[in-house]
Amino acid sequence: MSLPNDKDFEVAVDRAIDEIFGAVEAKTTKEQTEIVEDDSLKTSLELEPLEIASQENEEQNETKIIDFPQIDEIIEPNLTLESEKTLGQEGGLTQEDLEKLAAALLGLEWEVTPETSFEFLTALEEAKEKAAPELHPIFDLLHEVGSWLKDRPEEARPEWLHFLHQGIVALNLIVVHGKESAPYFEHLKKALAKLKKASKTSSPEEQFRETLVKQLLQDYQRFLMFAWLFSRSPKTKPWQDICQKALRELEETFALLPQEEQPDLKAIKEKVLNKLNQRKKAVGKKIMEVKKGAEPARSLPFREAYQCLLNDVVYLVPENQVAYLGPFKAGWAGKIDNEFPLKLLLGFWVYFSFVKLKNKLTGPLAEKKEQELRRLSLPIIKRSENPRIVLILWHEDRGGVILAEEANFFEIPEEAYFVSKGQGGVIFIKNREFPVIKL
Amino acid sequence: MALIDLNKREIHCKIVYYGPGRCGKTTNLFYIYNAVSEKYRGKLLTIETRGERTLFFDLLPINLGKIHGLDIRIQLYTVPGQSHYRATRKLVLKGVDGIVFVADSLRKRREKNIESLIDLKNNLKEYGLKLEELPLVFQYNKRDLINANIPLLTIEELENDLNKDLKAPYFEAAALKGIGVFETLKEISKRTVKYVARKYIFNQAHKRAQGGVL
Repeated sequence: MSLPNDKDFEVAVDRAIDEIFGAVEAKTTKEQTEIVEDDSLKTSLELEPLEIASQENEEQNETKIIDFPQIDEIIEPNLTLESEKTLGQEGGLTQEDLEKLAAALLGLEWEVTPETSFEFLTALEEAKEKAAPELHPIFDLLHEVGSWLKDRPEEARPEWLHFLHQGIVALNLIVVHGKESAPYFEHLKKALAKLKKASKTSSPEEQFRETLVKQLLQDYQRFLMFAWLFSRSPKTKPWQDICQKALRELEETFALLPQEEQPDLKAIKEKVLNKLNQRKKAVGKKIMEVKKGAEPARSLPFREAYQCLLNDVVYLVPENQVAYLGPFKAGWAGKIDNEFPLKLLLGFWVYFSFVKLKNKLTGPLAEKKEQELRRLSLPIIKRSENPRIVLILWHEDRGGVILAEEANFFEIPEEAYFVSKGQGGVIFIKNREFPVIKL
Repeated sequence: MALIDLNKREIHCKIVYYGPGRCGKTTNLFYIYNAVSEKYRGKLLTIETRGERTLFFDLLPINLGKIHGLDIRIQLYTVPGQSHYRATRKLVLKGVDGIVFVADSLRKRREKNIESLIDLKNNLKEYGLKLEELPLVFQYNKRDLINANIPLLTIEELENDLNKDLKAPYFEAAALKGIGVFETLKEISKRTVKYVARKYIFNQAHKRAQGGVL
């Protein structure tokens, strides 16, 4: 590739940078006078909420702007110490003490070492001794965070220093500017609670416990889903009972946790069930249509079926024609065209003659010879765009394969009726129409 | 070192704002971020890395657009005042192409300025770099505090403490108000882009022209 001439390039760089930043500079210089005026307000700035990294504000933190009053701006040496007058205490807390405290904090901000932590805590203690008793609770809060820095410097977080900074700003506002201490104390107390929550450290045992609780919660949700699934058919009632038992045991285990750590199982349950019911409704809505003026009812050709979801349509497949039902493996997609070779079901085991394909099948198909089964390919009669389940149908020496998204066992209610329509007919259940796939 | 992709015709230059805690490095970046049009800048990121220790630094990418067919981007980094660890400062310096040393004009921070400059030199040394050889600009920040009767270092004192041997350009600034922020940025950007182009493109092209290997 060709490269620009270096001299020309440098001239162009100068011009581009002047153009981009020069325009900005001109615009911002105009605004500077306003900023200078606003700056006078900084000495009376109220405390701002601490920015503590949490899941809620994680996204906002992406462009977080730190904008709290600087100690240097707050502690102005030429200000009259109103508080000294108001407090009227001989040898009370002075601005000089707060400056010392601020200086110690600056040291900490540069680097957290045992020395800087010690210096800060000493300055804090000295200032507390001189301060009026009503300020002691604020000092205690600052001392707590100062002690964290001393004891756990490796875990230090910017928010801790921000808190100390805000604490000193608050003291300055109370002592120098004569503000009420109570609101500042409350604000700092709340901020400290948040800090504690955010910076809660975990020992290996605690971490293990957290992982365990998290895993149990996931299992709880899974059992909820299985219990719901098994409740849909009387045939799976025993499995539903097992799930219910597991759920009860998990609930008893969660009850052993301290009250504040216990998950809101009721809310979780509600959420999971709502989600499942919504899905059920959504599928039902798409596939069912009310059939007006239906043909005369006929007796049902089968009572037990599999509900198969294929491309947003639910079909019914007679249960007695299903010789195999199992997951559709991703690798099969390339090996099938319009026919499905049964040997695919064996996977890797196809090379071992002692592994029998017939053992995977049920009904008349399973009675065929192993060699014949291994050679047999059946036509794909219905295919989903995203198959996850394969059903192999066999009836009166004829076979076919359905590649579905879902397949659930289903007992057809008494009130349903069959109408001969289309290829396999249609079953109406409560005025809803289910096309039938059968051989 | 700068990231240069001649196939894509892209140059990425890394500029680090260095200096003692609370001197105004992050304030510089915030001011730039707020003032520069979105057309030219990316998101200002405060990055936390978790490994042996938690490290914090800010990153602001700026796109200068195409210059002579080369897409030039600069990335501004800073280690904010809250960052306490030498490891962080060292990490951020990796691959640096230009440095803005932000010095605190407060008299009581005199030692911290000197300490920080020594720290910078030592960290660069560990990457085999010399401050004298890199594009460098000094920014003497918080000059506006002189109006508040706060004891400040004079420019002569700052120059003597920090820039006596380096003889780098300097700018007086009040970053909180934006004063001197863009003068500093313009100077360091020009120097850095030219430095990178000379070092990695023109010199190599020259060597190649003489039969060397690019």
